[in-house]
Amino acid sequence: MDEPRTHRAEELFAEHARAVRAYALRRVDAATAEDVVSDVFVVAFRRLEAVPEPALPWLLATARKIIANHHRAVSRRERLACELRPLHAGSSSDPHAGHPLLNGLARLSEGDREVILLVAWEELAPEDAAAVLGCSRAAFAVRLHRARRRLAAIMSAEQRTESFPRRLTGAMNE
Amino acid sequence: MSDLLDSVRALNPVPDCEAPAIQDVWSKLERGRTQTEGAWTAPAAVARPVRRRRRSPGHRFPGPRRLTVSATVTVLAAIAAAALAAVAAPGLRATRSPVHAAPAAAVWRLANGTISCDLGPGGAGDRAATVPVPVRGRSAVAVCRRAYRAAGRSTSGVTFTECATSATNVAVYIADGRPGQCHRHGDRPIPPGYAAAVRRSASAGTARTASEHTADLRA
Repeated sequence: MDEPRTHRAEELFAEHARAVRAYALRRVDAATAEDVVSDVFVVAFRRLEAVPEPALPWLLATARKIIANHHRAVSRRERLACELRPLHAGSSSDPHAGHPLLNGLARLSEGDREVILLVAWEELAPEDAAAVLGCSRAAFAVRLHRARRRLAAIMSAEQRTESFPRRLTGAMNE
Repeated sequence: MSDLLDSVRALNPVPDCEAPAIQDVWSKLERGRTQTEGAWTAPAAVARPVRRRRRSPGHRFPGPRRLTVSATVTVLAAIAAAALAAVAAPGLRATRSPVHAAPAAAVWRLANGTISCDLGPGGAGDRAATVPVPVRGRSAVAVCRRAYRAAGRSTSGVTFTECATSATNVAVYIADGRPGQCHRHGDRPIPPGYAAAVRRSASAGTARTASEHTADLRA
C-alpha cells in the first residue's frame, strides 16, 4: 500500500475502530468481536476508494454482514445463545443482568431489535442508521416507529402477566 | 415512546471500549485472507498462470510398480485411520444419541449457566418464564421449587422437570407426567453429567454465569 493510502487507512482506523469494536462487542463474544473488527478494516483497506464519507455507517454495515456470516456458520441453537448473549448477560457483576427491558428486546425480531439498538446503543442519527441498514431515511423512520411500538407492546404485556413470575424471580434470588 | 429508547440507552452493555490494535489488520492484509469475512482470496495464486508439467514422450501412464505402491499406501492409510478412530473414540461408538455425545465443555457451560423457572401462575399449561439467574452450584429444580413456595404456591403433589433451553440455560417446568416434555417445549433433555458438573462447580467455588464472555466484556 502506498504512503497516501496507508495514511488514509490509518486515519480511518483511528477515527472509527473504537465504534466498530463497540458495535461488535454488543453483538458477539469478545474473541469473535476482535476478528470482526479486523475483518471490517481489511475490507475497508482493500476498497479504500469505495469507502464513503461519513465512513462509520459503511463500516458498521460491513460489520453487520460479517457478523451475519458468523451467525450462519454456527448451529441454530448456538446462534440464538450468541445473539441473546449481550441481552441475557448473567454475570453477577453486570448491573443490567436480567433486566425486563433486555428480556423484551430479546423477544423482538432481529430486524426490529437492530433498528432500536442502532439508535439507542450505537447512537446513530436516523440517516446514518438508515445507511447501515441500506434503506432510505423515511423507511428507517417507519421501521423504528414499528419496532418501538412492538417493544412497548411486549413490555406492556409483560407487566400485565408478570406479577407471578416477578415474585418467582425475586424468590429465586433469595 | 422516547422514554423507552432512553431506557434502552441506559442498558448499553458496552458504553465505551478501548481502541483495538491496527496491527491485526496489517497482519491479515499481509496474509491475504480473513477469518469471518466468508470469502478467502489469494490474489497471488489466482494471478499465476497454470503451467503444464512436461512428460517424456514415451511416459503416458504410471507404470505397474508405481500403481501397486500407490494402492498399497492407500489401503494401509485407510486401515490406520479406522484403527485410530476405534481406539480414540470408543465412547462415541457406544451410542449415536446426541445427548450421550455431549462434550464435557458443553455440559460445563450449562452447569455454569443460568436457571429459569417456567412455571406459570396456572401450572404447566400457562407458561410465564422468569428472568434467568446464575446457577451458582444450585439444583435448578430445588431453586424453582423453593421460589414456587415463596411465591405462595403449594408444592404438594407437584413434580418439576428440567430441560436445556439453550447451551447455557436450564428451564424448570411443572411436569405434565408425559414422556418427551422437553421436546414438546422445543428444548433438549438435560445431558448426562450435568448434575455432577453443578456439584463440582459448587465445590470449586468458581461458579460462572451463562455468558462466560461477559467477563471479557468487562475488560
